[in-house]
Amino acid sequence: MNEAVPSRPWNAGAILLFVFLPLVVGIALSLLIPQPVIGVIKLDDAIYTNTAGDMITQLIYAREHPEVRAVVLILNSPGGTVSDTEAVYGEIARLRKSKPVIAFIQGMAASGAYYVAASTDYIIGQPTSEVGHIGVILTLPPNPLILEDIYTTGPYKLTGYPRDTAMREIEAAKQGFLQAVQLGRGDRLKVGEDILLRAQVWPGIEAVRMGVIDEVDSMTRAFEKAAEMAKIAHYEVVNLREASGLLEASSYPFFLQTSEGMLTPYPNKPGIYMLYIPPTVRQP
Amino acid sequence: MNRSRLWIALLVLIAPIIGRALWFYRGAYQPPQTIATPDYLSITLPEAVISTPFPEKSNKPAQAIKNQARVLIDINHDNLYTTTELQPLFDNIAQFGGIAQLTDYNQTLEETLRSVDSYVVLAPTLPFLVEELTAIHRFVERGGKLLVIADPTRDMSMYGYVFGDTASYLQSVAIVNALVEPYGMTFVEDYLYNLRENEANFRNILLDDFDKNDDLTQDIEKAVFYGTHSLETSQKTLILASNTTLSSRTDEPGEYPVAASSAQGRVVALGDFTFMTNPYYKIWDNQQLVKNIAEFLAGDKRSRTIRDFPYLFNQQTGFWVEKDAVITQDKLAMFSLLQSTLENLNIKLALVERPVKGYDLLVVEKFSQYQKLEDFLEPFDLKFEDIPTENEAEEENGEEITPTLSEPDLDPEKPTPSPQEEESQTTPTPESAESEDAGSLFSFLEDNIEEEKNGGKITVPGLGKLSPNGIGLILFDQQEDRNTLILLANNKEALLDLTSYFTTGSLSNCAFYKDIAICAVTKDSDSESSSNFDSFDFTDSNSGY
Repeated sequence: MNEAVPSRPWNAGAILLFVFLPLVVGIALSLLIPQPVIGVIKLDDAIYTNTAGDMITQLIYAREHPEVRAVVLILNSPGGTVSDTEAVYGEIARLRKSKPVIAFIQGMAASGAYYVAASTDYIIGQPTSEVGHIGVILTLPPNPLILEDIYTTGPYKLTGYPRDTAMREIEAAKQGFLQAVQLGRGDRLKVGEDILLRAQVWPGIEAVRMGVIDEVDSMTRAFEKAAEMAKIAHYEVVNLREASGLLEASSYPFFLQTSEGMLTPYPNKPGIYMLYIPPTVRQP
Repeated sequence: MNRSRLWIALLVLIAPIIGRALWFYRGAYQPPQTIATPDYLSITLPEAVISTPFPEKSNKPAQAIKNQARVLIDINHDNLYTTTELQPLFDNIAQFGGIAQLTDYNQTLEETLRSVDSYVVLAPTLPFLVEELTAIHRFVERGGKLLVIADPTRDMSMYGYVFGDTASYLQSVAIVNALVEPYGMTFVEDYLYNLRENEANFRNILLDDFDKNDDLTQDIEKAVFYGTHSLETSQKTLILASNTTLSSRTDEPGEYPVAASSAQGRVVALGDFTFMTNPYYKIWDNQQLVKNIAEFLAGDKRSRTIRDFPYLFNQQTGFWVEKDAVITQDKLAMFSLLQSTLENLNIKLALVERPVKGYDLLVVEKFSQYQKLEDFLEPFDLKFEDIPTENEAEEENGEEITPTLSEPDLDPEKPTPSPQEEESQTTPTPESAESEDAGSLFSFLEDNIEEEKNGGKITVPGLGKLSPNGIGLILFDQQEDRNTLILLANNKEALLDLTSYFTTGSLSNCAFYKDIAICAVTKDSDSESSSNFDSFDFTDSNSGY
């Protein structure tokens, strides 16, 4: 007949060995679980080579660092060049396969900036944020020319492309923009392309009604929404510019400056842009 | 026992890990099943339908080459275009034998318009002066054609837009409207667009509603305007935008006119200019539209009135001398003066004894010769009472010369000078504005009657009876094949005075009735002291002016 073996009493050694030590080890191991991070990427300039490059660096950082569980884009931009906008757009689409991306429109997400916003999972604006402006703007190249001291191997080496072709190029770019908005917003979009392609800037409230953005609220709400989508809590908000080791944004003469030093809303060089250029014309 | 302690140890080990994990993470992110991006490769560039070259039409251009209608293009009002942009229009004008010329800063518009057949105003940004508007309206009344083109893409300069200079922008539509509103047409300060059916861009609207009965819009099925104003018109609509086209002013669709005409088709308003520039004039039937516009401008010369003086001759001109008559030295001097003056207008003057085919006619005679001029004077319905005939009149002094001048080359087929030759010649700089002061006219006529001597009377329709002394008549008659200008006065000095109007280029001191001008000239009593027409001065004469 077997009798139960009486348990050995917990003495100090046993407690140390079976409770304290595993607890310490457990706590130590738990510290290996990182605090989730919501990365913040700010865009408060036009989208051009420098700013787009910085955004892409931060997006790649977010994708490659597991502790970054979501990204919030804080946008205040009139848009920029078509190619740089498309580059940022493509990188966001790639990041969204693993992490949610939320756009918060601080002041303006017009044209290319809205193109970028449309690629995110959720767009939050402020009631009076300037949103939309879906379209492309082009300054036609000059007529083909030749110069006495410059030799080229083709008629468009100096100007890039024929004026008529340039006009048609922007129609193709516009179609890409429209598709990006329609695909990004999906069923949430409540207006047709007739309205979208008017290239209008809408205030945040109107944009919500049209399904162009999802809601109007605060920046905190953007982080909450990001956390909710990423299913995280007690997160840390990290500026990805600093985290990715980028220097302060360098100034680049993207906008045309007059000889008197006045900055205009026009790009420095002609080309194709997804850019909102507020009229400088003084109304009567 | 040991096993349970091991379980406890494991639990204690895992608990903080699980706790921390649950503290931070509430689940796993579920990305969207598909993250769709645009299919960029499926997007194609919109391509334009290029118009094919059209065959040469009938023999119209060949006929027109003789006409050499002059088309005046305005550049005096800070117009927002370059002349190279007009090359397709220039080419078509040349095809119809027309001559395109730019406005001259050294001449008033009124002066310049007298010599041309059509006037094109394109995207002006400087307002027209009241005198210019008056001159334009009179030009249209005289049969001139007016083409006014506004273009919403040329309302202001790029610089003005970028740097906020609105001065030109605010006026551009108002400027062109000052020209066309008297004719029942108004450019609207808008642009038309169509987001669904367009040529590569929303502002490039496709047009297929044309007035097929109008020469300007015939043979056109489809055209494209590259940014156009709409028009409001109570007159004839030439081109209408489709009902899916919207106006930027209202964002409402409608059938907006973009081209209209008025004044029996002599005034045309167009809402776009870009369509006639390269390469856009090659799209759809724009090429045909440009050709029609060129034909409108240069297809025919307008009829002339005496108000167009001295640009009254369309071809080489014959200076009439009576058959077998003796040419006096004075007459020869007059001929010489007129010949050199008309040469400046690119008109060759030759002596003729009768009206000759292919020649306009210039008759310079004294009133006393009126019986010999019956055929020429018939259209004017003048009545000569008690006018001394040649035999009764005082014999003219001066050496007589037997006409040894050979008959001019009367070959009507003789080519007229080339446009380049014409352009290289200078035109006289006539004095400005013609006088139409009714007060001056009546006082002149009253004085004229009071001072009537025994020289008889001339009854001029619409003006009453006049004494031939101190007045000269300039009569203009336009017929299908010939323009005839007749200068009549009492004596040689008066005739020289009358001839001198050619050098000043303006009938500014004359009174008009239809195609008759009555001008003050030297009186008989003044003739001795003012035999030289160069020294003639109206202010010193007693003509009542």
